[in-house]
Amino acid sequence: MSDVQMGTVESKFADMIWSNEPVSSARLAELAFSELNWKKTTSYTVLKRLCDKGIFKNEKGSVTSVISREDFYSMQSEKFVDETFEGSLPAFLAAFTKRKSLKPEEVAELRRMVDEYEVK
Amino acid sequence: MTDIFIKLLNMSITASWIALAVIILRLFLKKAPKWINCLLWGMVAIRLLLPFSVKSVLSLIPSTQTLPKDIVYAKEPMIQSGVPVLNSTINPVLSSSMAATPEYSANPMQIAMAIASQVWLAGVIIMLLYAVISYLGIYFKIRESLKTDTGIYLCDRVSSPFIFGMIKPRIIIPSSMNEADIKYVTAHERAHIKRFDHIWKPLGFTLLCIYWFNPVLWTAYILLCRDIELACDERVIRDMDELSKKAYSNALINCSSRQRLVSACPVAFGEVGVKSRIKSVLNYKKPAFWIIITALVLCVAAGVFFLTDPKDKKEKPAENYFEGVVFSAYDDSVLVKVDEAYRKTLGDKVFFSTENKDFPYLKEDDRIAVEYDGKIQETYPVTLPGVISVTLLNEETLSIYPENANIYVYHDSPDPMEPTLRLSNIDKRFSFSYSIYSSFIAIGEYEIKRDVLYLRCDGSDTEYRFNIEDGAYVFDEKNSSPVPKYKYWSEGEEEACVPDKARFVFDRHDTPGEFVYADYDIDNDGKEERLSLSYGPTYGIFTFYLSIFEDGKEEYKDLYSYHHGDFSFEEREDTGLYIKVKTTEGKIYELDIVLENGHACLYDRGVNIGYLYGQSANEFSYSKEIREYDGRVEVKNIDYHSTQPHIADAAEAIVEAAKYATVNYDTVTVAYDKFEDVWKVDYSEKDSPDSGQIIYVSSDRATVTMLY
Repeated sequence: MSDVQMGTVESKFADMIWSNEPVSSARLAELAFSELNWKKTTSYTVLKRLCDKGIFKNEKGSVTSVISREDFYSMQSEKFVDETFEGSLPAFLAAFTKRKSLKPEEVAELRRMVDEYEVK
Repeated sequence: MTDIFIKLLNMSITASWIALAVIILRLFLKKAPKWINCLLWGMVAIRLLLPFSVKSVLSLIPSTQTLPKDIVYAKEPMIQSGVPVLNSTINPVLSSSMAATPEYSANPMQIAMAIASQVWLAGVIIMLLYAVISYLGIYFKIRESLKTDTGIYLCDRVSSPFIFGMIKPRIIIPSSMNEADIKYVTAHERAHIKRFDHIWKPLGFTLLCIYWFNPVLWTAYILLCRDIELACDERVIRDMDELSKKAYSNALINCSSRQRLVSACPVAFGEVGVKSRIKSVLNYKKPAFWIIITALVLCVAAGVFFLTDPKDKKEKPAENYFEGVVFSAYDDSVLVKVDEAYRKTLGDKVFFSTENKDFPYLKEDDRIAVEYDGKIQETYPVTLPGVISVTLLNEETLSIYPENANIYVYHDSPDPMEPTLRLSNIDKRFSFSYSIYSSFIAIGEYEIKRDVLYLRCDGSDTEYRFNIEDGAYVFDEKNSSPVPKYKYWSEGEEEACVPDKARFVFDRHDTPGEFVYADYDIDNDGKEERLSLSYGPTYGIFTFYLSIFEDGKEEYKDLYSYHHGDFSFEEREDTGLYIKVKTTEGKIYELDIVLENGHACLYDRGVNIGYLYGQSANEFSYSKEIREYDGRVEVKNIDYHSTQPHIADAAEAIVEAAKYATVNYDTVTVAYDKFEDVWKVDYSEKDSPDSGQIIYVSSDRATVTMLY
């Protein structure tokens, strides 16, 4: 599951699905045409690819998501931290804060998250 | 197909010369702007596109016809590369492996070229297929792209930036690229578009598809791609500061991909020699004005030297050499009218002897090139005692068929063409064509010795022998060189086109061509016939043939004797077509043409002048007449067997006897002694009955009796 990736262009297309789901594949193609200037066949090809990747599913012409937007991007971040910081969140935070210091609201948010986690 | 292939081969060799020159020139142009290099490659492309060019003495191209057009038909194929070293290394190999041999029906060169042109065509198709497939592959990939507001297209599915489309070029950038890089890459691609590289590169690749067999041109294409990238880089960074240049180099590094070295359509950013490009970018200095000027001058010079074709050079040295036209040639003496260019040393006419030398047969109006040892005898005309070689330069290939020949045909051959033997009357030349499937015709000198005819082919050991039996030539397979065998029937074995004991019988005289013709309806059948006059076997001295063809078939042919002069067809309102004869003295005769009894009869002022073919001669008695002459005769025995079969009719008797006649004549009468087998030919002049000559010729042409 964590191997799933999307390029910039695919992401734009995926966003269209997430923003409009459930959406008929025909309507999706129309949207893709108006925003991206894509031919119908192109839309269907990309849709099929994304379904094969397990992100969306196309049941009887109706397209819905299998992985939600938030879940997807969480997976991406997780993957990023795994690959870049060997899974160490502190390391990531250290790097992150090195360049951008955290705002007070963000610190509060973090603290709350840690507390909630410990509880589990 | 094969000639197209040979033409393309020659064009690619010509282009290779200029490509090699450009490759060397580039080394000197390192400091010059790179668009100059692209101009030079453009010249190579021009040579590959245009089959012709202007001729100039300044041309440095060694030869535009390295493979002569008729190389497949040559007995000894040779290349004319214009470079003596190349010629002398390649030609011996060619002639030993590709020389035509009479036994094989097609020259090895012909076969080799035919195969080669098929292979070439296959290669072109494969290359074009590759281009089409990769184009389609990219086309489908870039459909999934995102157009940004800067006009470029982002695409997930490509790994390096490039331009797609020749008419409306689109810049395609991989979506994974970061913003800074995208900026520089876009600038680079836009520069490509401004330079029309998205047109030049595919054009170059198309040319490469056609000329795929030439490794020099592959090198040229690869270098062209490099030069295009460098020229593009230069254009982009022309006005950049140091910082931007560094950022640009970074972009280059980030985009360097391990793509295939050669791709047809995409003008890809990171493809070509990244290291050298970065070096050039970082070290870029705007070239000085004078460098640009020098480079341009070099370009123009290269254009003059390599875009022009060489003027045909003679490969012989200028001294001790001349060209001219044969003014007269008989026995062993040749008188030549010398070309303008050589008159300073030799004067306008030159004389030399061909005695004891192996020169080609020469006749009046032949164009020749002569090499001599430099010794000139200051006579008039100038005499050259030491002629080394004589080459025939006639533009049309000299007719290989001996003129004024007797033709013998083998009528029972399975071959669609009847094997034909032509033996010249005037010299000892022969031609022997034996099969429609063979592109080879044997020519050379013949000899008749003791009832055997020997044919010795020029320039080889091939010899054919025929036994003379009853006036026919009978092929002697055992003592002859082999003749080709072909499979004439679908079930059956191969047969020789001329089998052992094939009989070649006398067919006809060879008339050296018609000299006058007319289209006229002579028999009033509503259709026009073709009438033609041609010289008789005595070469226009006084005999001529009138042939009448209907629908291409020869309906009438007769031989006549008459005054010599200029012949023409004229038309009279009432009586129609007639023959007008104007003698050298200015006298005019008119001959009406009347078709009678299967012959075309000619009437001079109402009198039938008679025809000679099939004319049964009067009878006479040889022995009786000889006795009457009482010693005033001279009997000659011709000491070689005649080259012709026995005299068959009056016409032949006239022709044979004419060889010995020493008087002027305009009238001939023929008689035949059946018992002694002797022909009597009486030459006289109508207006002077006392002059004249009677010549007796034995039927086998071996004995001639002259009366004085």
